[in-house]
Amino acid sequence: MMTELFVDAARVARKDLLIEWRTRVTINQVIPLGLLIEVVFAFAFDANRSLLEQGAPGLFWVGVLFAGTLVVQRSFTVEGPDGITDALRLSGFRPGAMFLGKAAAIFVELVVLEVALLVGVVVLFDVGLSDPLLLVATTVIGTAGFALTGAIYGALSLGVRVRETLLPLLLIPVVAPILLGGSRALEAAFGISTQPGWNWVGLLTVITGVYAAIGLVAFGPLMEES
Amino acid sequence: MSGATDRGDSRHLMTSSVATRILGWVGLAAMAVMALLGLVVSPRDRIQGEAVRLLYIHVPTIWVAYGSFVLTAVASALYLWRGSSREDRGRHYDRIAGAAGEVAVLFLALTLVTGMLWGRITWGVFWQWDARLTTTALMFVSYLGYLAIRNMPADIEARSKRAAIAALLAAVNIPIVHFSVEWWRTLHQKASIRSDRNSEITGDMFATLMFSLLAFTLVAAWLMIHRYRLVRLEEIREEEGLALAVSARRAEGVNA
Amino acid sequence: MDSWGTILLGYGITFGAIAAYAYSILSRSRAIGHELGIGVPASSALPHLSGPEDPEDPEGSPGVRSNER
Repeated sequence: MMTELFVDAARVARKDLLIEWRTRVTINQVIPLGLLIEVVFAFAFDANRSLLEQGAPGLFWVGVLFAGTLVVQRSFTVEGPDGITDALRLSGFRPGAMFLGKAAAIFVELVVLEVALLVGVVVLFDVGLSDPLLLVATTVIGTAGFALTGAIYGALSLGVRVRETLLPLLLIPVVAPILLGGSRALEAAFGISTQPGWNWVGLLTVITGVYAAIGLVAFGPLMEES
Repeated sequence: MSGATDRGDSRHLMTSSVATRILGWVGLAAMAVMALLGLVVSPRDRIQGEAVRLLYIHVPTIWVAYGSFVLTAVASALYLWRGSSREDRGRHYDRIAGAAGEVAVLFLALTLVTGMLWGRITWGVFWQWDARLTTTALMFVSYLGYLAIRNMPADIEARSKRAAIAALLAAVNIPIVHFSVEWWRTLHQKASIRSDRNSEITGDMFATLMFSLLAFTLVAAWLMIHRYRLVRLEEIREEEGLALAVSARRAEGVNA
Repeated sequence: MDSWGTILLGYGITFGAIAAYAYSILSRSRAIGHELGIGVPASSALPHLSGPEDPEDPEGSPGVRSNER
């Protein structure tokens, strides 16, 4: 049963990533926007090097949050007009598989985005890396949490005319703890602060687990009516 | 609030009933007494000075807000679980959730405002990145999102269902936000207000606070009942509008 | 003395906001009531307070449906 769920989820994810590969919206538009956000922060802080270095972990996550919201938006925009949601339902996939598949595709796109953002942050804000393992763990788990939460709220605002404005309003307060935990952990990973970073990875893991469970339960009712 | 009768006087088309009119007047009177107690009768605090008077409205607003959030979450859960088995498909629960959610957001906004004013007197600044303040602000924003879902133009059943799920998600999120923010602040700096600095609230001050809690609760209940009735009226109007549109279309069909 | 101004401001905002909200609910209710030609006493608006009346059935509840427009 479980393997079937994951196989179906992989199919959904594959479909989403294929669409992305053919349209290249994330690569051509969202990633440049993410980098732009970092550059604009440099303008806002008057290119103050020490300030930017201090703020780099937070600015990285702010970039992920805002550009990521667009990725989530995009992931559900492709579902809307052509009624792929109906098609998926007719295909007999369980809602849980759709949820995990959507989240997985969002996750992959976000990881690509984050690699670009990290390079940008290192180059632009002059931060060094002191704990690569912590960096990888933080971004992977934090991103998984964001992707799962995004999949829930993306479905919640699916098919709504005001989705473009509704989704960020719903999503950003909810993922604020990920921004908090992710930024603090990255501070340690970048060697900016001496506070322990792995505690925050623990928090991110809990958040990710909670939203995975919620999504598996809530996705069914959400899909039924929309 | 006054003057309405149920005896068919067409000039008084209001949503009050005898019970809610009494509740309304009692609530109004209680608020007046509360203002008197809070501003005049109650003594100034030894440590906080006059600022304690703001707590008489600050504490009740957050009490009402949290109570309403609980009500919203419970009603939303009932809507999802029991809604299909009810004759009205759970609309009753949905209306309760909506009314409570809106009242909660209003009182949470007042909590933030009175808290900031209190902070201005006590700390010298409006805002501290204190765990409780930050959590409250995030809660406020996420419940604004809940209200946005409730107000979006969509099929009423689909909207209610999503709103109910959103309410439960927001409720689940409160502890997550709370603990992460708490942890954030305690790891980085000592909490800016130490709880042992708060003086014992006793005697007249305690009585004032208790009375104030009662007064705000009465007023919130009155607001919620009337908000519920307004939702009901809006639904009736939607149904009537739909019926009119359908008959208009039918008439078109006949003429064509 | 400065604090008194702030305190009164707090009370003013709180009482004012609640009053404004109450007014907006009542006036919207009244407007819709006029529009539909109905008054909704508690009996039909809050059905469980008055007994087993079905709120989803406008024909069944007295005074809800009206032709006057």
